[in-house]
Amino acid sequence: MSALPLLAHVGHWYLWVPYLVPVVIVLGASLRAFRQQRHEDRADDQAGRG
Amino acid sequence: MILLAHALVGRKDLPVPAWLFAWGASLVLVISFALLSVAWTQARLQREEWRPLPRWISRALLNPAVEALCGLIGVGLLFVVLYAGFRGISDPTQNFSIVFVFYTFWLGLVLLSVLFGDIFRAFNPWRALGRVASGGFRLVAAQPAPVPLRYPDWLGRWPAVLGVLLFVWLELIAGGGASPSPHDVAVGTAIYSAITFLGMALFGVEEWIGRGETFNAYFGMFARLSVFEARGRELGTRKFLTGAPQWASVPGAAALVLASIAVTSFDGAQEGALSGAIRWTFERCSDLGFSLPNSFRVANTIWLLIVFAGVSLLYWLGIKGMHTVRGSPRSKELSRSFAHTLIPIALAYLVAHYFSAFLYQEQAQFTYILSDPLGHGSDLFGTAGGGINYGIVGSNTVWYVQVAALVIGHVVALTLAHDRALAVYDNVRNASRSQYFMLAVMVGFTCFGLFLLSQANA
Repeated sequence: MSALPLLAHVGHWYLWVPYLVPVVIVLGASLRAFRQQRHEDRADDQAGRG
Repeated sequence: MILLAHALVGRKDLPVPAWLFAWGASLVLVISFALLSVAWTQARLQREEWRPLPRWISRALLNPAVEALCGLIGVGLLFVVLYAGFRGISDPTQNFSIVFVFYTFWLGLVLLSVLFGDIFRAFNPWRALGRVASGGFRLVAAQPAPVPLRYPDWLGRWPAVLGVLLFVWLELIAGGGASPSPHDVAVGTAIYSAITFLGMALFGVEEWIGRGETFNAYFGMFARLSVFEARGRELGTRKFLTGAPQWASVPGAAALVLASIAVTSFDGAQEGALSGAIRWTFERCSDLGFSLPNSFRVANTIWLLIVFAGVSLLYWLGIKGMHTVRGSPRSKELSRSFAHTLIPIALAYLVAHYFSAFLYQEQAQFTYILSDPLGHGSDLFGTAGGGINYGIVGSNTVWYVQVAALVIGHVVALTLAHDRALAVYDNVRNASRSQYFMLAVMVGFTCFGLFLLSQANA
């Protein structure tokens, strides 16, 4: 085997991608919710100053 | 051939593909997170509320005679491990030292610690011998044994982290591609005993045992999940899960629990998900002129450390994410204060990975190895003719237990993290927001664990 070891997993992506999907979904949803709430915080701060 | 490492079994006829279990487990975690955010709005697990049991129970269980007996049993077992390792048969499947150290001791005591509390402290052979030596000194010199050094606070649980990594290195790597021999285990035990005696001589018996000794720290960590705890000579109970939050206030605590998860992950990945990468590194080491056993050792050591770094990085990303929430303490403080939330994950990984192996090996432990610990043909208790019934549990049952362990472990971890967040942040909203990232970490650990198992079982 001469290819880089981690690249070898790309070849059989069908084994690990299904396990990655929930992680990506939850991570994406977490980031989205977090950004949305931070946006609301900023709006609250500005309203407070105003 | 690492005969004893896994004893995992191939699954047959699952009703749905294995990866769908990862989706289901993730869904359970998301629902648990949502329920916790809505219904769990006050920290409830931060105070232990320890209550003593009726005094006669403490008197019966925690008296000098029982303490001496437990110490004697511990020392006796240490002696048998050493004797069987040096004098017994070299076949690892027939020798007491291998099955006892890697299964009955390393896994069985985790189970007992979770159920009954920190019982290893009573059976700790090094502590028993240290106390006898210290008592003997006091008797002869008419003064307490001198303690030359003070245990540095910064050292915390770091010796235990190193100890856990070395223990698993001995189990999975030291043999250079073969199972460790009983002789290797006996030598390792003797070296570890010498280090522990030195530690006790330098820092004092209770100080070294309580803070630096690997197995006391390791089993003590799992004992924090138990409802039982002894304080002095009194035995008491606390509310479920309230022991864990008090655990992680020491340097190296986070590293210890991360090391526990990492070594189990590595064991699962060694012949599954990481086998290709390890083989590639092995070949590069051979090209560099290492002998085959040394190439195996170097390649596996590198990947053990990479897995440790990867697991730590995942936790650190969760902590960094939490740190972005308004009113967060420093990342280092957050890392320490949430470390205990990983203990149920470490337990879940152990159960998921070793459930079947433990069932099989304990049959050997309590039948032919009990009667013939050296493998020389003796039959001390009339059980030498016994064997392992591999049909004791079906392959699908093993898989369901693995999935259940991982899901329950991560839900408990999520609960602990949510409760700690309520104590750390000044309002429920920020506490819940901080846990978005821990949810992602928990889902990551769950899916990673199931992926490793699916590969190892395949």
